[in-house]
Amino acid sequence: MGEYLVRMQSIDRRILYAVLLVIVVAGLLLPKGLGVNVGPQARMLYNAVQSAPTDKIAIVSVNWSASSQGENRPQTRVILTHLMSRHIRFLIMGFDPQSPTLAQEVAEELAPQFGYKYGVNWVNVGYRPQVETTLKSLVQDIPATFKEDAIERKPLSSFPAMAGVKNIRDVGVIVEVSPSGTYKAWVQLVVGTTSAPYCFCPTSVMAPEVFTYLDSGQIKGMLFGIKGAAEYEELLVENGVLKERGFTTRAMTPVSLTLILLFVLIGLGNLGMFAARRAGRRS
Amino acid sequence: MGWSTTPGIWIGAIGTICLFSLIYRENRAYRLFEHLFIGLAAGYTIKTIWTDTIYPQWYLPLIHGRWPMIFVLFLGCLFYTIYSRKYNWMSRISIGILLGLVAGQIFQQTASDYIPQIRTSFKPLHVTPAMIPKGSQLTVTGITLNNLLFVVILVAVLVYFFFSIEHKSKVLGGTARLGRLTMMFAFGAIFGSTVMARMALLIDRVWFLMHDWLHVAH
Repeated sequence: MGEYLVRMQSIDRRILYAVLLVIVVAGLLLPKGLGVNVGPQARMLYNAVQSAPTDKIAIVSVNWSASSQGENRPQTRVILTHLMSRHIRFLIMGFDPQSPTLAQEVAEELAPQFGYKYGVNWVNVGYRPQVETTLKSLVQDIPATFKEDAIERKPLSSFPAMAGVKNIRDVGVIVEVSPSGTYKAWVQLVVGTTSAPYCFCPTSVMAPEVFTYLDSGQIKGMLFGIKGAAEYEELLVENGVLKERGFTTRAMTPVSLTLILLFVLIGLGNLGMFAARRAGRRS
Repeated sequence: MGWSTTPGIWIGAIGTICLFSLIYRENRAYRLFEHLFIGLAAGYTIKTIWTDTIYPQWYLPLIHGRWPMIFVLFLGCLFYTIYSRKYNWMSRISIGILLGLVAGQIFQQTASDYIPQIRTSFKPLHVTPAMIPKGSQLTVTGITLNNLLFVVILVAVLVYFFFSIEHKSKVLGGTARLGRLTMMFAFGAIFGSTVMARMALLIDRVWFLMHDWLHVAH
């Protein structure tokens, strides 16, 4: 028995990956998922979007690329769904070269469901390389900061979606979807200059460090990685915006199963370590 | 039903499988797609910087008569003089301008970032019913305990990072140990979140293979 336990410390990593793959595939194929409990951070973000005035524009700042789309795409999707369901105009901007294109893809996919048209209901101003100077500038003058959009290459002020939008006071809500620490620049340079609530959707890795900002009220809501996106999807279903739960909720079952696998493997590794120590003492 | 017939999906699927093949062992297919991925991302970045930033923000105004924009190019080029022993002093002009801009911003950034957090760290230890936020399900005892825990942890962590006095005394050493212990909880939470993030990325790729490519999940 002890010998088998000692071996638990050196299981071939290919076996571990194979077990992981089987669990993920099985989790995605299960007809009924494990369910999602909505946390206060997602509810706060939902309330911030829900209470945003419909005559103001929303800023959706996206800073994710293909490498973090597993978490950030579902987050962008639920946020845009909620904004579109409330008929709020929005502006997509990004500090990552790939992100405005990827977010545009999500917006175009959702647009027919809600009768949204590019230019009339939303604009995409594309990528900006410098976070601080862009944010300082948009606080004072949004059309002058971006000049033209990234899709049709027309002056920003010529779009109906930008009608009456001059500076940050004309923004109803700001939501940032990002795997990086750009939220700090928003908190430092924009929050405080506007009454618009600033909300943040980080990847799970980033999320723990954001709680301090939630506690101080500098950030008004947060989606904790893919779990947060699933919670938001649940809220959209609860409130009749979505008829059924999508991939995001479904993905939570394999997430939970893989975490259980991790607990089991940590347990087995520790048992192996204790067994090895005991065997060492005997010899 | 059946497999996808879209070429883009097939390229994505083959790329995903080849990149995951590293799990089994290092191989040429993995190397090929790794270089392809990095090359594509770098190329796309250069293209986007030109189309979304340099072209509309600098080139167009320049050719339409805003000739002072040429000085921006001049200032940018000065950075590259750092590679010349003779002219590297010129790079200090650009670096100096950049440092001045950043130093000016730091004042606003530090105040906006930390002052609200310091303010909210002063939590009342004597809570009255009037202090309970509207709609909150917490009780007076619950908020008091929560605030007490917050203050104890805050003091303990601050003591841990207080290096001016050696942590020899029982009180100081014990408080610092408590601070270290509570930080361990935070690091554990961060590790758990990191695992969840990585799993989410794997699930996304597996879903792409099952849903978009093989059409076996709906």
